[in-house]
Amino acid sequence: MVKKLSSKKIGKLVFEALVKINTELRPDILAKLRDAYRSCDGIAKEFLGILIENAKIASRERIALCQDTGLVVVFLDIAQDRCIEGDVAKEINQAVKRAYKEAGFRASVVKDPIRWGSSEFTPAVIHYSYARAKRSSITILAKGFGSENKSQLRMLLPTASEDEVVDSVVEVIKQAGGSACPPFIVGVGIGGTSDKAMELAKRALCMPIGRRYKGEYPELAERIKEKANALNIGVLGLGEGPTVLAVNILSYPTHIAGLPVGVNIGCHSTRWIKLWIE
Amino acid sequence: MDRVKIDLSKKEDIERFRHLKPRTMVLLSGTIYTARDQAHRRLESDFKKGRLPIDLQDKIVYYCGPTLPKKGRPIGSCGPTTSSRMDKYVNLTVSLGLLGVIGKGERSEDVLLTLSRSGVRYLVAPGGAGAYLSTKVTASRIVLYPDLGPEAIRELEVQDFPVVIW
Repeated sequence: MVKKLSSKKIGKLVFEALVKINTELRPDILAKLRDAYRSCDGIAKEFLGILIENAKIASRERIALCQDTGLVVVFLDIAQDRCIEGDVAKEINQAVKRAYKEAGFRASVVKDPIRWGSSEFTPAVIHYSYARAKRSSITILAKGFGSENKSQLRMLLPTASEDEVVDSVVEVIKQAGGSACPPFIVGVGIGGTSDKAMELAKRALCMPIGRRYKGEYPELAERIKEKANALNIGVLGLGEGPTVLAVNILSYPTHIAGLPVGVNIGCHSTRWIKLWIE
Repeated sequence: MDRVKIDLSKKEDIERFRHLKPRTMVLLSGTIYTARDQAHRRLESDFKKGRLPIDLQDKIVYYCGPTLPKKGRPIGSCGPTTSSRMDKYVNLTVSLGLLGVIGKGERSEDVLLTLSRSGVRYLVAPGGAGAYLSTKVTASRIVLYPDLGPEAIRELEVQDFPVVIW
């Protein structure tokens, strides 16, 4: 029998998650920043020290890590034996509004993308999918636009070599530069269609970056990371310290005539959480 | 690493500031003004009509749109935004006679050259450190374009606000 997931419950999860992710830096990212801090000196050490202090202040005072509290992106992955009860988009958007209003986060969303109007908190970008997984999950990302602006899609030739794949991602990182707030988390989506590659790239941002690599193509990810760090963009573009903290790759089968490569740049405080829905 | 303290209310500090070398870390104290995309757009339109509503001669403009303040605090999270988006307003920036601008990230070579020829220093603040930077702001009030919300022009009093000369 198909069991029901409550929209109201999902809204409650979103509300709690948004205050948390905007004020508490992810422990896996904080650990990487601390590692970098120990191995740097000069301006990079100064600025990494400020970022670590920033995380402390934000969590203690419940103040946003960054003034760009982002455009909220939600991946709702529903297990196949479940269905959703109620208007889930409405519940999610109400939760975003309530969380951002109560916490004093910035209204960074404009209804009409061409003509300027006053800014609001919503709508969130919501991806719905039926997952093969046994449990349903929701991934919530508050995506800042300093880094989102630098994300790109590259449609490579089907005959492209691994080197060309690596170089195309490194080129996107190079073009992202200092304004996207390095050191970055880089999400890469390889294959599928143009839209699928970009969706995978964003999903790849939302993966833990602990000691064990959780993505696909671990060797390619390592090569991209090494080459990107050799660019010496450095901490906040100042030419010192790491440019990239982690690269995660996800893939999907693609057409014989193409090789889409999507790259989503995440800043040093990429804010996301994945929660199980019962 | 050496940090140079600059008090923007002192003439001798301002002169010293003009001659600081690139990559110097500076702790700014005094008054600065926020302005980002939409405020620049408005200022430019007002400037073209010949009625600039604010005097920013020898002042520092900060590319920033803060979050709302918590109770008892002057400002919310208030880090820098991407400077290169303001590159298209370089003529306005020069016409205002600014002492400097604070943002994040690289700018076009042309813009950097124009700024340096006009005596406008380009400074970067630590991007994504909005909570930390909010502790360096002691007062904040909206002085122009209140309808722009987070993009309104604010006058900020700062104490030891960290920036690096690009």
